[in-house]
Amino acid sequence: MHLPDGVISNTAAGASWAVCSAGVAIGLRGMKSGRIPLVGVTAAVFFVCTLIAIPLPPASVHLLLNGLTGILLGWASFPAILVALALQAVQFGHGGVFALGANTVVMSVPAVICGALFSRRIKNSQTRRAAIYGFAAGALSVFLSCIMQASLLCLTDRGFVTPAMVLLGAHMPVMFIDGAVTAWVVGFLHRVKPEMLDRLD
Amino acid sequence: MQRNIILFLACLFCAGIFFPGRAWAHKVKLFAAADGKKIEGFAYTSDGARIKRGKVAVMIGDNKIAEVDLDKKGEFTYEAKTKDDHLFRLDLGDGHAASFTVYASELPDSLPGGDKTVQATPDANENAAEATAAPASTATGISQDLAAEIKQLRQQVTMLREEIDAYREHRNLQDIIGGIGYILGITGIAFMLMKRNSTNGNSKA
Repeated sequence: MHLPDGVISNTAAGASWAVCSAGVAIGLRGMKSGRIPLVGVTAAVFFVCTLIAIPLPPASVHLLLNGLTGILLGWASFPAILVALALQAVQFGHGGVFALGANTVVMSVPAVICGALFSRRIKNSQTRRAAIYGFAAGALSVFLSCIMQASLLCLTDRGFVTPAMVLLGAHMPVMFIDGAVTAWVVGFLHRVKPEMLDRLD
Repeated sequence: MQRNIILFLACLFCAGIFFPGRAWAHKVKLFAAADGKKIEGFAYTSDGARIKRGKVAVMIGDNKIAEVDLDKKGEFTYEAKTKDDHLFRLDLGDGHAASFTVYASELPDSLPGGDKTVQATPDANENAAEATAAPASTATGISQDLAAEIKQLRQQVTMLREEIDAYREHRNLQDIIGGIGYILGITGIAFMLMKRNSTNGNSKA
């Protein structure tokens, strides 16, 4: 899910940077000082978790946890994910530096959508139902990330259907794993610290 | 309750950090080396797993001259026809791609000339100079023992190159902890800036 440099066109990369900048600006504007530690910790968790690969031929896939990021951070997912991906690109060469905007958009837009769709429902539900919403958010965010990446590849004249099928096929197990992890975390937080699930914006 | 949350976050970090070494994610990589005319290579992810399906495009300059399949071991073979820089490019179609160049200097002089406009590396120039400096030995031929030793040496150099390439992708705990440290540092800077802004706002009021 980390696009390297040179795979997408300059136009697609530039447009992604524009969307990424707007998202980061909105995220930073709505961020309250009391929630900065949560943004930092979530970025650190995202940074570590997206480094774990699950071998799955022909390549390998990794956890995303952008659904969880969206539920916890809302629009602040943009700066959190940007920082984590920037460090991965610089330290490990995972994803290109020029493609950083695209990678941020691919993971942050689904995070914001899932946050908008599920965070209020999670807040107003019983723990068991909140965990189910968490699963849905985790799985949907991975699905939407695949669609976003296929759309960027489509903008680069690489077609849409084939990359989308390859991505969705490879990430089907990730949807379940991401959903399960998100469900567990959401259920846990709902039970012990529900105020953490209050959206930042 | 506070203790539960700290425990939970610690578990999440540990699950990530102490996950078995082979599991660090993933970047598609390609490696190739010439053995005479034959160029052999393999595709793998940065966690060491071989990529067992895919097509590797063989390019000279901007021209695609051939396409070879990865076998079940994630390996491919191509026989060079000209003494050119050969770019091998693997595209998995989902946004993962990798490339590797086998320079003309690695290929035998017996191959026909090749495109001289192709960008040569400094190493390539040095090797070319060496090759022109000692044409007599190649023209007169070499003993079988020497040829066998050269072949063995070439295999050892290839193995060393593979190891160096794998080492470049090796991640250790310090890298991961360093990344987390950077994030916490950025969080601190954000705190400092917000505090300063709020202090400035209060003093103006």
